[in-house]
Amino acid sequence: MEAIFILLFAVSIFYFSISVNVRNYITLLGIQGVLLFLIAVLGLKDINTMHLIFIALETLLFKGILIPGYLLNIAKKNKVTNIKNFKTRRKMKGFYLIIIATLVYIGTIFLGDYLKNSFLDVKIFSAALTAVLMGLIFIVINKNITIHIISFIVIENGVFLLALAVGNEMPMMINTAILLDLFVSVLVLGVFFNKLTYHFKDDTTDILSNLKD
Amino acid sequence: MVSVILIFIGAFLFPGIVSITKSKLAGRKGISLLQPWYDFFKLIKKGMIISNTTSIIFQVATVINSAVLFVVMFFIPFSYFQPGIIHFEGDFLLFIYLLALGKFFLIISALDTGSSFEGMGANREALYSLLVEPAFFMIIGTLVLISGNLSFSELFQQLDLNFSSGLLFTVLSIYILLQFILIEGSRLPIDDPKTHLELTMIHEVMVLDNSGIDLAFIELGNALKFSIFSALIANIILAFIPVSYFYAIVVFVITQIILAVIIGVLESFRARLKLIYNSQFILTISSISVVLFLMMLLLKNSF
Repeated sequence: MEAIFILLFAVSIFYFSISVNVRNYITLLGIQGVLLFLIAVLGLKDINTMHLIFIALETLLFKGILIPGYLLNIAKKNKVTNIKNFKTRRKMKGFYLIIIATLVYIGTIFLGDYLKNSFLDVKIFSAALTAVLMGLIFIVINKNITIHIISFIVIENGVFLLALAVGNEMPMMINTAILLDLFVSVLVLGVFFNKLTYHFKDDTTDILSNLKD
Repeated sequence: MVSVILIFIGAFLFPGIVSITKSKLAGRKGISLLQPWYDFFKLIKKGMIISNTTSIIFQVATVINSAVLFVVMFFIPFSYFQPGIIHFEGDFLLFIYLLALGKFFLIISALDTGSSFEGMGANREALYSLLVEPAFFMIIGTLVLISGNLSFSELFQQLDLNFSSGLLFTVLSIYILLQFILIEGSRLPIDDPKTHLELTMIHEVMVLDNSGIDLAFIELGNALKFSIFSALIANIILAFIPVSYFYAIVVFVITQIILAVIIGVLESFRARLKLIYNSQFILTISSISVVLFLMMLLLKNSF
């Protein structure tokens, strides 16, 4: 059963590659949050009630509901639900991104098999590493700041899954660090985005290229 | 033989059910279930107009395409009860390449007309077939991996999806095969069979020069193709939920009807994709099938 959710998580990364709408990105983010909860609950063997509540709060509540809801609210408020002039904002076509995502996934499976560690779950490891690497690629090829923060959360989801791949339990320290990262990134984005749009009408990083000494 | 009869029943019902579903959802009365077949016989009675610019290829293409589809039907088994009429080790490769042969002849017949519109349609059809083919190969590869057989008939006879991840395979393979039907059958969101603008047509623009009996058999071929792939879906469902012989026939027919209704519903509520997004959408389906295959490899510890 756990394999179904891992596979759906991997598939969600492919849909990230072809999405051109901020709303789709945010929906996929919410789906990933729910999938992470299900993978964690089914995958973790040594888990106590306190830990389970913490994971449920982190994945289901924050990653699945609150953060996507908050991001959608910001996107709506700043009218960035559709990526205007998509071609100029993304440096790579979805077609090539899909090929890259597939190759990355195949590569990570080979890497997991090459490592041949009895503690390593190759199914989770490959999906997690694909999420981390594709998150980085999404950040590099997109100029939209909202997509940057969404890609950052995809990387965080990958890190969360990676922590699950290497053992039967998940250290509380990793959980707390991921949650802190999420708070900082999303809240900072929310606060600064609202303030920045008073001065800049655009949400791309293009304006940064005009910075001079 | 039962599978061939059931495929014919599916092909017989498919165009009517899709049309009726779309009409009902649009609030219209709709056509009768038999209307596509009245049209079929009307087309058969009509004469054919063949352009002077075409060669023998144009005249034989439809015959080859129809013949290929009739032969391909004989490969499909009736679940674990009856093997296909034609079956041997590695028959699924011939199955796939026979379908490709039929498509190849349709493409070169479109190019043979010398029309720029038909050439454009042929170009698109070739690209989309190329991109979606890995998805079908991966699904069949996964079936081979699970059952350990290389023949369609043996494959479905010994396919047991009652293991822990059988549901995973069943659901995703149905999803991928459904998308495959939509793409191969030139339906929404890739192509709109009802469009009248040549610039955005894909399959329809390829057959603009066909008329009379040729056009009738092209339409029949589309219905048969839907029914053949639906039969594969029905076989996968029957491997997941084994039932008795009589109920297997019922499952077979109901699967075909439900898939036709799903296509009708999708076509009613779904917008057509922009042409530039078609390739990436099809490639996503192929990528998902690759992921499914690799996941099954890992689950079976065959890596």
